[in-house]
Amino acid sequence: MKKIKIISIVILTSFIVLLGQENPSLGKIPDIDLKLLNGKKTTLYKLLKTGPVLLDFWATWCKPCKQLMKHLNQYHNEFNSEGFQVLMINQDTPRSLGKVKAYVNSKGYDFLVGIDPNQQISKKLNGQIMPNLILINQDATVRWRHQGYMPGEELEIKDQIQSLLSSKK
Amino acid sequence: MNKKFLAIVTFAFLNAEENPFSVFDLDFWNYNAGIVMNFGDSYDDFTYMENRMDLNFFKNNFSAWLQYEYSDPPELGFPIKDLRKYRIEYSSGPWTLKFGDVYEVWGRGLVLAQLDDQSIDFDNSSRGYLINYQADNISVTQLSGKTINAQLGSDLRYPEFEFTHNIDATNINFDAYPFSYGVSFLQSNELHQLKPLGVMDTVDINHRLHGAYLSWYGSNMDIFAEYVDKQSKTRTYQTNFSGQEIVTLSPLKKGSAFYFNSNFYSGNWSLFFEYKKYSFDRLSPVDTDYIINNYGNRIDYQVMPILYREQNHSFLGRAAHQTNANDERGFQVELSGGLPNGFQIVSQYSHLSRNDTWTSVSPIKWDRKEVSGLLPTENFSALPYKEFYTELNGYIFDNKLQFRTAFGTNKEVPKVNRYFEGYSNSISEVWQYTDSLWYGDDWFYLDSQLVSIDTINNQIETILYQSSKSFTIPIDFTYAMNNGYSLGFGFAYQERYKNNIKRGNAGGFYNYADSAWVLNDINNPDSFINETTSNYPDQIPFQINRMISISVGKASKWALTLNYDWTNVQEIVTVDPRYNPLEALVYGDIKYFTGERNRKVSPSFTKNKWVALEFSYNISSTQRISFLYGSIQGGLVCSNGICRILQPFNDGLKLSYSAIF
Repeated sequence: MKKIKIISIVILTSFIVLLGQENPSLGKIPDIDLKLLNGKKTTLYKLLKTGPVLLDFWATWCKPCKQLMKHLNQYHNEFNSEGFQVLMINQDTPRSLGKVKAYVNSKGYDFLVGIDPNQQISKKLNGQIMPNLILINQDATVRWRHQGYMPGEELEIKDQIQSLLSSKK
Repeated sequence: MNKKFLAIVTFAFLNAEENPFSVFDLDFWNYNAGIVMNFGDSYDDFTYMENRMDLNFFKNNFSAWLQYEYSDPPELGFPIKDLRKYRIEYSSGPWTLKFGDVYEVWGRGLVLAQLDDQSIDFDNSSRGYLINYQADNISVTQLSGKTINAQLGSDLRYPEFEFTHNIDATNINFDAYPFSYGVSFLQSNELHQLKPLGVMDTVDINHRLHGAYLSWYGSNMDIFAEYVDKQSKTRTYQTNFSGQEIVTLSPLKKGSAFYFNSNFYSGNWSLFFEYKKYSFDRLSPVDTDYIINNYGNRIDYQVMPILYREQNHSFLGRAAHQTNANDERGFQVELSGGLPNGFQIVSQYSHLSRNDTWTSVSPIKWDRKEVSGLLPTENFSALPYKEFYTELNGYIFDNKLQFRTAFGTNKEVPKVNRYFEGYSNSISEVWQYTDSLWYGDDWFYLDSQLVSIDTINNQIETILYQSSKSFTIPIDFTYAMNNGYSLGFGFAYQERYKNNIKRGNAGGFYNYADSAWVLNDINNPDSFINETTSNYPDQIPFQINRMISISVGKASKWALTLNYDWTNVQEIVTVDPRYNPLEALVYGDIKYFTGERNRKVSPSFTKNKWVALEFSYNISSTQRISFLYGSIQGGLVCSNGICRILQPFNDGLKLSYSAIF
C-alpha cells in the first residue's frame, strides 16, 4: 500500500507540473553523429541545414512503428521540397540488424534511415519507448515530441509539421 | 558516489563560460529527461515496482547522462535504489572522451556489442572510460572498464550467479566508401562464479578475442562479413618459496566464429541472406544447457546475429528457438517485396544445427563428427532447427483498414539424451584349464588355453530425443475512422507439439563389460520399438493456443484493449488463485454478480484461460499512463534472441507511466 502511495504522489506531482503544458519548451537537441543505412555518415546538424527534421525511433519488430512509417514516408515526400526531412533511427541490435535495409527497400521508403544498434542516440534523446517522434526546428530546438502511436495520430503529426513549416515562411 | 558527483561538477565548471556557478542553473543547460514507472501487484504475490529516471545534459562539447533507479523489487533482477547509470562525454576536434557506463557495438557484435535490455534483465555495459580519435576515414577507439553480469539460477526473478569481467578493448575502423572495414581486439579477465551467490567458489579466466570485419555497399547489393578468433585460459595463483605470487595461465578453450550477410535489391524487392558458423565450445547434446560449469566459451560481450526471425507476436515468440551462440551453424533467407496497392509480402526460411553430429558410445561418453561442408544438417543428434514464416500486410479501403496475416511454422530437436546407430560386438570366449592341482579342499588352476572365441555382431539403434514443432496463424486488423476513433481486432491460433521419442532395438541399458548397448530382445535383434509420447501432462497429444484481442481507441487520447488467451493444456501447470470480476464479465457469469458464486475458488470453466483489460491514456503527447487488470499467462518470453521464463501474473493490477520532459 505504501508503494501505491509513493507512485500516486509521483504521478500527481508530474501531473501538476506538466498539466496544461501541451507543448512545453523542450530545449535544444545536441548534435548527433549518424551512420546511415547506406554506409554513409553525417550529423544531425548537417541535416538541419536543409530544413526541419522529424526524427523517429523504430525497430523491425515494433508493430506500431511499422504502422506509422507509411505515413511518415508520405510526409517526407510531401514536404521535402520545403527542406523538411524524416529521419528514422533504427534500434535493431546486431542480432537482427542485417534485415533493416531489406525491409526499408521492400517498402519503397524514401526517408533517411540511421542505425543505432547500441541505443546510444535513443538514450541521449530519451527515445526508448517506440515509436518516439521529435520534431526539430532548423535551429535545433525541439518543437514537439510524441511517444507511441495509435491509428489516426498521423493527422496530428501532419498538423505539427505543417505548423512548423508555415511558421518558417 | 562522491567521486561521481565531483567528476560531474568538475566537468561542469570546466564548461562554464563566465560565472562558474551558472552550471547549477538549469537554464545554463540544454537538457531532457524521461521517467518510466511500472508497478504490478497480483493475487499470487507477484509484486514489483520499477522506477527509472533518465537525465541528459548538453552544453557545447560536453554532455552527461544520469539514470536513477528506484526498484524494490523489480520485475526481474536485484533491487536497486541508487544511481544506476551515468556517463560524462567530452568532444573536442577529433577526440571524444567518455567516462562512466559505456555502450559500444563493433561490427555485428562478434567481438563486442553492449546493450541494455530491461525486459530480460540483460545489461553488459562496462563502467570505465572510452577514448575515441576520429579523423578523415579512420576511427580508433579504446575502452576499458568493468562489467558485472547477473545470471538467473533456479529462481525465475532473482539472479543467483554473477560473472565479473574487466575488459580492455581496441577497435580501428577505416571508412573508404563504399567500403568499410575494421579490426578489433578485446581482452577480458573474468571472475566466474560456480556456486550460487554467497558461496565463494569462483574460477579466474582470461579471454582474448581478435576480430575483423568488412562491408561493401553497392547500388543493388551489399555485403558484410565478420570473423573472430577467441581463446580462453584459466588463471591460477601460486606462491613460491620466496613468497612471491606466480600467476600461471593454462589453456582452456579455443574457438572462432564467422558471419556473412548479403542483400540484393531489385526495384522494391529485397532478397536477404545470412550465414553463420559459431564454434566456441562444442559440447555434447546433454552438456550444453548448464552455463555455470561450462565456462571459457562465448562471453556476454558477444551478442551476435541469431539467424531466425525476430517475432513480434507473443505466440510466435513463445515457440522461438533458443539460440546456441557457442556451437551453431546455419543460414537464413528472406524475400520481401511490394505488391500492387501497397501490399507487402515477406517469406522467410531458416535452417540451423550444431556443427557436429554426436554418437553416444556409452551413456556417459559421446563421440562427435564434424558436419561436412558449410551447411547445417538434419541429423537429430545435431539438434536441427527449421523455421518458415510468410506474411502479407497492407492497407485497403482507402488506407482505412490496415491488416496483417501470417503463417509461421517451425520444427526443432531441443534435446537428445541418447543417439547410437552402429554395430556392437559382444565377445563370448571358451577357456579350457590344462594344468591344475588339488590343494586343501579345492582345485587350483595353474594354466589354461583359449578354445574358441565367438563374436556376436549386432546392428544397434538406440535413440532417445525430444522433438517439437508448431504452426501459428496470427491475424490483425486495425480500422481507422474519420472521426479519430479506431477499432482493432486480432486473432491467433497455434498448435504446438512436444514429443519424447524412443526408437531402436536397444532400450538404453548398457553392458560396460562388453562395451555394448543391450538389445531389447537378445534372441531377436530385429525387435525394434518406436514410441512417441507427449511431453504435455496427461498425455494430451498437442497444445492448442488461441488469443483474441479487441481494442478501441481515440487518436492521441486513449485506448482500451481486451486480451483473451486460452489453451487446452499447460506445459507447467499453474493454478488460477481467484475468480475475478473481469473473468466473470467475459464469461457472462451472472451468478458472480448476484452473489451466488464462490469468488475465492475459480470455477472449472476458467481453467487454462487468461483475461486482461488494459486502458491507456495520453495525458499529453509526452505523457502516457496505462492500467492493466487481469491475468497474463507466464511462459517463455523472447526478446532479441534471448529468452527467459516469465512468471504468470494472476488477478492483479499493473500500472505504467512514462513521460518525457
